[in-house]
Amino acid sequence: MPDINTPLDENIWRSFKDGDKAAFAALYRFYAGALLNYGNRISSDQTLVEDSIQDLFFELWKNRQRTTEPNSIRLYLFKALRYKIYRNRKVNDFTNALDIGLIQELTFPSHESKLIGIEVESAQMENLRMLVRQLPRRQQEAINLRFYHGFSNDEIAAIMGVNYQSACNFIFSALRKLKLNLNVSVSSFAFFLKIFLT
Amino acid sequence: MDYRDLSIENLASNESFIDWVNKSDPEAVRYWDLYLSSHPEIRPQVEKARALVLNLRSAEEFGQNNQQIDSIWTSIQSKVDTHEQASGSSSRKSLLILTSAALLLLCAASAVWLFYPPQSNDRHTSDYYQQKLSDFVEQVNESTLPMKIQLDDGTIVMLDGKSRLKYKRTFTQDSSRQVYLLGKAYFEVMKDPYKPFIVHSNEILVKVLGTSFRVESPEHGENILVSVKTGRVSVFAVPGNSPNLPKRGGIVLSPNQQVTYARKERSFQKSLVESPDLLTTKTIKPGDFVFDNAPIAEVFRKIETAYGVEIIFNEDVMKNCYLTAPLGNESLHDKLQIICATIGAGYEVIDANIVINSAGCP
Repeated sequence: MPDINTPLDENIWRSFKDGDKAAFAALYRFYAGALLNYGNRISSDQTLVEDSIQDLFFELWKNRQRTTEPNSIRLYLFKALRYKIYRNRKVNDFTNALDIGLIQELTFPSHESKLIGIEVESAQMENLRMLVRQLPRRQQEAINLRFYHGFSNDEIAAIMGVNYQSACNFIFSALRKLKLNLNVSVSSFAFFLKIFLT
Repeated sequence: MDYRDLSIENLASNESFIDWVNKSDPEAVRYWDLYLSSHPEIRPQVEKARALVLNLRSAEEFGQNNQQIDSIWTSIQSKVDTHEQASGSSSRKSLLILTSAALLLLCAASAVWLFYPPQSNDRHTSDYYQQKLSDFVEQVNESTLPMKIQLDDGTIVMLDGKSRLKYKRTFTQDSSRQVYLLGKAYFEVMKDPYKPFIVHSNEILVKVLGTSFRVESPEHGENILVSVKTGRVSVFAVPGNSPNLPKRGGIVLSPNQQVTYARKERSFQKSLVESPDLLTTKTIKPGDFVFDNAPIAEVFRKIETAYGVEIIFNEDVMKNCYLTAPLGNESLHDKLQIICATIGAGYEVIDANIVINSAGCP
């Protein structure tokens, strides 16, 4: 299903453009959760993600009169956040921090992720998460956008700045790798044994 | 198109297949349902691909950190304020401190008394508010589309079309935050443990302890209905002329419970909502309700935890009852009907509990 603005989105955008702070707050509240999920998924540097979201919304407010309503506010915000995170990361020159962070996260799930995560996290779900984290970074990102946020392949291509075919390839390759790993490690993951043998 | 040779990854990466799994596109749902019914042989790999799509969705969910969301917002606001002061157009500075989790609160009421007080019975609320009409803000949504309103405490209200919301201009300064609703609205309540959030609706008031709920209070209806989706909610009948929260006599509702207030009899009747939802879909795995010769006590325990309901049955009498049934996405009542038909029992809902009547199994 294509992601387009509802009449409600349009109302809020119009009020926001007119300088209505309540509409601005509503806009933020509506998308902040999803943006945080995505931001934390493409960078393990929480401060970077938070600062980027802050910049994004501050600039949105500052430039509101010059910004035309995007076809999809959600798509626009995701794209802009990704751009900000990548740009800020270059400025600070810690290109490798992301991967190191991911490896740490892989081995020792952070205190934070335990706190905010589902209290009774099944070991099986942890296993799937671990396998996803072992995928190449852009495949992980595409998986997050496709299966959690529900963007179409077209939209994923637009957000990630790649062509349609690449977006499809990221997802297909990721799924194939996951399937192979799941099959190989079937004995150690009783959970998947269950799924794949039902 | 022929999907028989397709692998799990082919299926799980197919956009229309994903739409079918998520039921997000009616056309895809129709297409795949039809295709599957005429090609039952591809069921096994379809099930695996479906499980993969669903599990990946859960795996990418990390829970929402509301504190983080609030603290980022505070920073954005101070940046905006600084910017506007610098550019000379200083705005009304918001001293709002957004505390932790936003509560979700779904509320619908149709109470004309609020704005056009009825001439009969309980007039206290209308009298009280008529006097001080000037102190109130009234939001009216004349359109048919929902309207988003942010209250001074940070609570967001999605006011449905043809609905009105009224509250004191200074309602955040009172010891509790009180609003009055005519029509339907969805509330996202800012959590403040020192100031409960109260929705007034005819002769009852609803106090939020937890997250989401619904109120149905038709103008001339005999009953007022409050049902809870998540979290905990208290419902009180309003005694006398006091606009204050009654000290006792409230009914506490948990998820999947509802209470009906009979306005004439002034009595509450607690029961289960019509179709109880699973409490947390996260903990439910496909196949959790597939029972193979399972002792009936185990079956009931599983259903109790999944739906947050209490099932009352005689364990001694039913100790020889075993269930073999591949249950799945049926509603709670359908599940109970299937179970009872299988073991020759019956059930009824009494006071939000499910009571099983059985003479035992041979």
